[in-house]
Amino acid sequence: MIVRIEAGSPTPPYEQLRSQLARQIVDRSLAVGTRLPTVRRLAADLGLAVNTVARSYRELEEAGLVETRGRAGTFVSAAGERSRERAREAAERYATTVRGLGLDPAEALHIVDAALHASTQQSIETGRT
Amino acid sequence: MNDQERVTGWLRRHRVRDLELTPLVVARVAVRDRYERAKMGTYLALLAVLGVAWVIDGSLTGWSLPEETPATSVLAISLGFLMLGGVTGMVFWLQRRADQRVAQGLRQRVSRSQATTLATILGGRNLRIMLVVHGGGILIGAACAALATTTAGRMLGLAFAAGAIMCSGVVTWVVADVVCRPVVADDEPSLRADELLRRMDAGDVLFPYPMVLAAVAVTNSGAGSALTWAFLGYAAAALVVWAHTTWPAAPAGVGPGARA
Repeated sequence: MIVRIEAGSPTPPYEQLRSQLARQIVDRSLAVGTRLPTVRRLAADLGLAVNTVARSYRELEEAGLVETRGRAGTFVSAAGERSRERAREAAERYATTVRGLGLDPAEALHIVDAALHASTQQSIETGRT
Repeated sequence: MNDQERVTGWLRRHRVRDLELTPLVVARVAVRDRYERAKMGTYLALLAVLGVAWVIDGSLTGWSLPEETPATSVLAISLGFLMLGGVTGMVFWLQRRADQRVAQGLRQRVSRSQATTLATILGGRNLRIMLVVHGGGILIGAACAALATTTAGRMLGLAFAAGAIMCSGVVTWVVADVVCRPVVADDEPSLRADELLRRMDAGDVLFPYPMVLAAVAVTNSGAGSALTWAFLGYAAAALVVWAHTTWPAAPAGVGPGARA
């Protein structure tokens, strides 16, 4: 699996890296226990600052997708496998709420779509500041 | 000579067929071709300088070569390898700087999202063979130095061990530099090319130099002695395992699911 950083993209490099790694972990392209490149190595390979890569790794760790094992490096966490399950549970709770409110399913999906879009935008804005 | 001609010539010389020629790969191969020519030129210049020094042999400088013994022959060859390794390392360093200049103009950079190790880049089997050949050379030299019954034998063992350590040191230094250098790639084909070039560079220096030292020791130590048989056995064993390596086109297994 590869990660790609575009210099001219409006998305900040740390977010490009974080989102690609997160996607690969969630869709299991990166298996549990896979060791990620070191921060310095990836920064050199992608022409990024060390802090940029470190920030991506930190956010992935906060999301429970990777774990740092001291000097051994950063590994794809088993918690990453559970993230789908957590998302499914949250979706079930949302579906129950929507049903209770009597909302149309199509409208409920639009609300989710808008919320996801807003969340992504917020993440990008945070990266710029 | 333009870049395309350089690249065509380089690919033909190295018998590389499965390289997708993106603009980045063409630029990198052209750089490589230029530095390989510079390396060969430097080797020839060094040989010429050594040849002249040999001919003059201190008649002008007052310096003279030490009396030739098996130990000095082995040490002289080791120093020669050290010098060649130094030149190769320096050329790789210059090549790496040129690659970095090419990389600065890229609008997009790619890399593997999983860690690569020495074994995944070089091939675990090849790496183990090199460890056995180089480690074995040092051990044989040390054992001969410890067990030899004559001063000349001990000196030869020590010289061989010192030579094997020098060769292993320079190989480790150059290979570490090759493996640790940053990736220069802007898409998947150029990433694969980067990995192939890396393997080829490592293959250039991962030669069993102690095997040559053993051959020199055998020809100089006198037929029939225990030392001769020890060095001959080592050289033969090293040759056999070396024949089973597959540089530089080893399926190094870089990439997803790679196993050393």
